[in-house]
Amino acid sequence: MSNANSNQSPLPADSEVLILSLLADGPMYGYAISKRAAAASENQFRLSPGVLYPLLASLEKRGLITSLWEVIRAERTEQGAGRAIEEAEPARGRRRKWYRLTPRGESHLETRIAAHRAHIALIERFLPARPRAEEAGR
Amino acid sequence: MKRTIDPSRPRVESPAQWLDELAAALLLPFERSEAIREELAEHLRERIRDLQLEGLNETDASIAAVKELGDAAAVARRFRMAERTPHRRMLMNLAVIGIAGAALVTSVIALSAAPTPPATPSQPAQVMAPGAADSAQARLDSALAGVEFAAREIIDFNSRRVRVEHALREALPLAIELSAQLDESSGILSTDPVLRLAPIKVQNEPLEAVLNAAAERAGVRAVVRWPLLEQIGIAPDDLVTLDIPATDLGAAMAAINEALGVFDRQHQRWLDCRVSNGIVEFAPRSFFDLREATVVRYDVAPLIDSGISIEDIRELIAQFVEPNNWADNGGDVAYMKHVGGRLFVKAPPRMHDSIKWYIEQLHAGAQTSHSSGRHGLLGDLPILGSIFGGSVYTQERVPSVLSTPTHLPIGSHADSGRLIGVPDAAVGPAGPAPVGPDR
Repeated sequence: MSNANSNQSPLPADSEVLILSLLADGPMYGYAISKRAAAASENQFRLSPGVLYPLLASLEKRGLITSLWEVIRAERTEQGAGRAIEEAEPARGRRRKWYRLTPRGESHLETRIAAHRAHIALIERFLPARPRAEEAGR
Repeated sequence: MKRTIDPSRPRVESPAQWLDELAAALLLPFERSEAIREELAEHLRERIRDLQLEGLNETDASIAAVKELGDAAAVARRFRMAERTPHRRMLMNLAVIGIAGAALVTSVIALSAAPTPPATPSQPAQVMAPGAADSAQARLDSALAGVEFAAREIIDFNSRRVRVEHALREALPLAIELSAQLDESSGILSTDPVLRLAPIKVQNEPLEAVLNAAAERAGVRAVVRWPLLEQIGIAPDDLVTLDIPATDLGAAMAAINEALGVFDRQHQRWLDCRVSNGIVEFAPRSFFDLREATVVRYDVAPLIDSGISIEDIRELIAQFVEPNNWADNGGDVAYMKHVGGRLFVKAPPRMHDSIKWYIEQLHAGAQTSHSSGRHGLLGDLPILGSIFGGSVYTQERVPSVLSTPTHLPIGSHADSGRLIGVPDAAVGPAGPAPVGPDR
């Protein structure tokens, strides 16, 4: 991905590839995707939830991913976590939305990866063998 | 418009408050809004738990988790963007609206097809036969029988005022409210269908996005006449902040105009809309007024015979009914011409409603001064019978010229010179019937 600085949010186009790549490993729900992205990039990428969930909705709308609701049974919140939310929630069980890649999404991801690699390879041709700063230091 | 910041708004909400704010700003069908809300509630719950495990107390963890989500309105906007496009969904919604609209048309036609005998100047208004209300009720029931409604309530048809409310489908935050008024003396049923919208809550959103989102939420396509609106100072990027409870389209439009800082209804600097055939059209009120203006003939000969001058009648109308619209006053929306005891008026339906009221008052005054003691039902008054031919517009107050006409069109606007649902025969040959080429 293009942003390599510490604790950055990837660009939307990069976020899309990132999400699809993570889902290529298996079904995941939103919060797990954001945690996995942070872990895989050693906290260099943060997928803001305010961007992640609308993006998931968009990918689903385009048929690249599909979703399924899981009913969460008898999971007690620890130390009162989420109490403020539960007060406003209906009495029925909580649910978690899982996403997985569709065949169309897999194909789209392959295309994007190939395009990305071709782009990087092309840029590489124009770059000096070593960074100038490194050469200057010699 | 300048961006405004509400100083009373808390900077960081509780998770539940944030979710409520998001749900209100989503402007998506209820089912979809609730699904998004549920997913993000689950995210918040897990995030708060993780932050607590990292050592934060519950309050700080909640604040931090909500902060990470960012501004609820901005997230809602991203969701709306994500929900856009697929034409299939739009077509599906249009089909639903079309079916419901057809049902309404059917019901209105069924109601207005009441067997009202042709009225003549000498004939008093038809008194509704016993059992006719039951018959009308049965016709409405029959017309709506094949339509699936989430809610249905029909109050006794024998009551003077009838109110019918239907929510089309739970998935669509839109309902059509059909109010009907039964005039017992004439047996005429006038109906007034209006669209009702679910609550709208947006903060500092561009007007263009708000109009499109509201239309999409209602399952109709928005057509906005921006070049015309820009001429009256309303632009797509005007920022609006709205917190409208469930209301009808007219009230929603008034709120939007207020949010835009537009208060000049009389000069037609007013954002208005019409809904028809799965499309909601937004334009300046003057645009609709010119398009919908009809010519109505008012028989003023009895008034002149009673000693009221035509100049006074003209002056009364031009001074009290939207004065700035009249050609005589420099406007270009309404025109009137007196020929041989008949006053021909070309004006939008809204203005005709007001004019009718003033003419009725003049007739009532003239009748009182010449009355031989008869009073009571309008149908008992020969003069009124001759003027209105049995079409009695029972209005208990001055029709508000400020009201936004947002009737769901049943039929073409060429018919808008009369009350929707009033049978042709009831209007009568000598009544205020739309005539002329604009009809």
